[in-house]
Amino acid sequence: MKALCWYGKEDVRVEKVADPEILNPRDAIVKITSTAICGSDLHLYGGFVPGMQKGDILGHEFMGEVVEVGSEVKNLSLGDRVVVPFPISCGSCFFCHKALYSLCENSNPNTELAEQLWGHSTAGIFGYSHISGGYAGGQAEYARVPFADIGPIRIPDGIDDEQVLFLSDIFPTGYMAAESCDIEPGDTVAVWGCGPVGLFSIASAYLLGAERVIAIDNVPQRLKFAQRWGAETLNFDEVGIYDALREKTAGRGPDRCIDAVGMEAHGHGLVGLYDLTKQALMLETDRPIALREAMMTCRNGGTISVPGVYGGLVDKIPFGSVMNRSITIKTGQTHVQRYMEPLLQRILNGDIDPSAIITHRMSLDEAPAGYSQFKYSRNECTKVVLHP
Amino acid sequence: MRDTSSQKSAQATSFPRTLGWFGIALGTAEILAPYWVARRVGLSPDTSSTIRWQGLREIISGALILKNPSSPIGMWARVAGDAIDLTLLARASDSHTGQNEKRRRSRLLVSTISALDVACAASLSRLKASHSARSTEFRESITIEKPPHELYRFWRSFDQLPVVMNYLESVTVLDDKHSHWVTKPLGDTRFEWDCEIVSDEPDRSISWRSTPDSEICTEGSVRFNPLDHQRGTRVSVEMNFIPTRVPPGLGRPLSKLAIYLAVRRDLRRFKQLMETGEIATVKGQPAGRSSGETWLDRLTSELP
Repeated sequence: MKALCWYGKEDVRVEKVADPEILNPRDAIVKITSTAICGSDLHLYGGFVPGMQKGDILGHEFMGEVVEVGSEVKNLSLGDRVVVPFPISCGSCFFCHKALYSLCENSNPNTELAEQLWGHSTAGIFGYSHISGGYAGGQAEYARVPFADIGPIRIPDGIDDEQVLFLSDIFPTGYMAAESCDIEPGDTVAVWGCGPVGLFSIASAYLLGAERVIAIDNVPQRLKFAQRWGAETLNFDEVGIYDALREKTAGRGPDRCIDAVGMEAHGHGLVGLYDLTKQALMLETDRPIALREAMMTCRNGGTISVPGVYGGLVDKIPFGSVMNRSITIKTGQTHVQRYMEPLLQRILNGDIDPSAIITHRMSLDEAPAGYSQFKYSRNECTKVVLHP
Repeated sequence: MRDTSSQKSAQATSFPRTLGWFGIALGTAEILAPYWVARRVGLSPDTSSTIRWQGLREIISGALILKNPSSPIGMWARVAGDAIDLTLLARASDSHTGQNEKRRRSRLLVSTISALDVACAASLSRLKASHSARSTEFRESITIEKPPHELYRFWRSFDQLPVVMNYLESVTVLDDKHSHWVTKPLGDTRFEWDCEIVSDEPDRSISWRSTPDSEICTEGSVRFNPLDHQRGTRVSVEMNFIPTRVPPGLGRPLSKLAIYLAVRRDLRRFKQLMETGEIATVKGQPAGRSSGETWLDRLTSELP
């Protein structure tokens, strides 16, 4: 089959590789009909994530048709159309029982690496480095899906791939980010980052009852998208965010803040230069510029929710500001399995059309160009969907 | 087994201890009576302050040796001091000609003693290296969300263990108390040994050891402790593993890291098997590379 393989910084290639096989009784093989490039794939593309090996197949947002099932998979039949969640979860461990699916104890065969880096290991993830198990990803023609009796959900007929594809990752991610804010009536939510996760955070914040959402970015096209989804916008290249947010919120700052940017934040001025320099010297692995800003601007007693991906260590965090002002911070890799059914219902009810964020559609062969356009926001690229 | 090893270590440390006391005695003399020492070995009286420093050095290295006679550190400190002594004697040979005979005799004496020191230090270093490579003890625990009797049943049947212990090829149950264990090839050799059960408390613990004639000396035990509030079972494994020979083809004893990783992985596999019915794997999946092996596999590839 054809698959998109990682070979180093900004080097991804579509190659012919072996077809996947059933390796365990609870596996299924899915023939992929649609798959997307995620913002976190760009961290792999930029060489920021350790534990990658040349030849690894990328991709964790995919869906398709079940073409083979292992002997213990009773809930799926051949021909079912399914969306596959990006965390691989067994359903029977301490964390899966608590619906904390991205923390599954049994799906990562390489726990030593994550334990060294993070203190404890987490679930296996499709196509996201050997720290997360080294599972082959879904930017390919076929994928092996472990624990197929727990993860994939069936999609009814009469709805397009593109409307449900984002149940695999970014829609639940934005939703969990907004849910973690514990939004109360009358709240103002500030969202840093108007990429796909930020956009779904904006939509979810409104679904969960926010009064106002203020979105922050510097790419004009992304800010336009955010406006289309109901947010007021701030361009951080044009205004100082701290003052602008205080102005907009009666001087107190936003009630809830969502950092949908993560480790590759763009900064400017001395702060930006500081983080870029330290990162180049390998003294800091992540650039937490958006996070710092959220911490300083959030109102006293407010909540910061972090769906943005971080990998290692960050520098100069104003924790004094956080502690003294009763700020709550909630984080996590999305527990996708928890949200797929309820959010599918929302889509079927017409509450939201996730396909609106897709700007580029291409074949799997064109994927390397897709990565490049996504990373550098060329041609107003917001979300790339691939059809193998 | 333990008795002979402590006898051996008592023998091994008696000679270093003698050298240690000798050093302290000499050092005391050098500090309290440096002029007398200088005259006796054929050095001029103005070396007395140097001799005092050497005395201090002798006492320190002597104390280090007596504190820990099986450690090579104090002995190597003695060797260093001997080198300084010999240098002093060599440099003094030009002045003070009348003392040549005395100095010659002193150099001979010091050379002999330093030869003994070097031999002793080298042997202690070798002993230390081989001792740490020889026996490996490890303890690991893991929590599994299953009741103790299920876990006990799996373990007690012994012949299922190769499913979770990847370095084992087979365990054949011979009778109620005995089993025969065979490893997968390590280098080009397989290890084989017979095990007998030492104690067996159903649903609580099992302990076993290799029979005395085996080529591997190993003891092990597993305990199943139920956790409160239906949180499953805490499984604790202790094992001791002393191969009597290095597998040819491997070239060196198995590293502690490799064994440590293997045991942790075994327990994780046990947990996965018990909780989910299968063992998580990516071996055999497609990738854009010709060899199926990842760098992580190479890192942990000493054991299968």
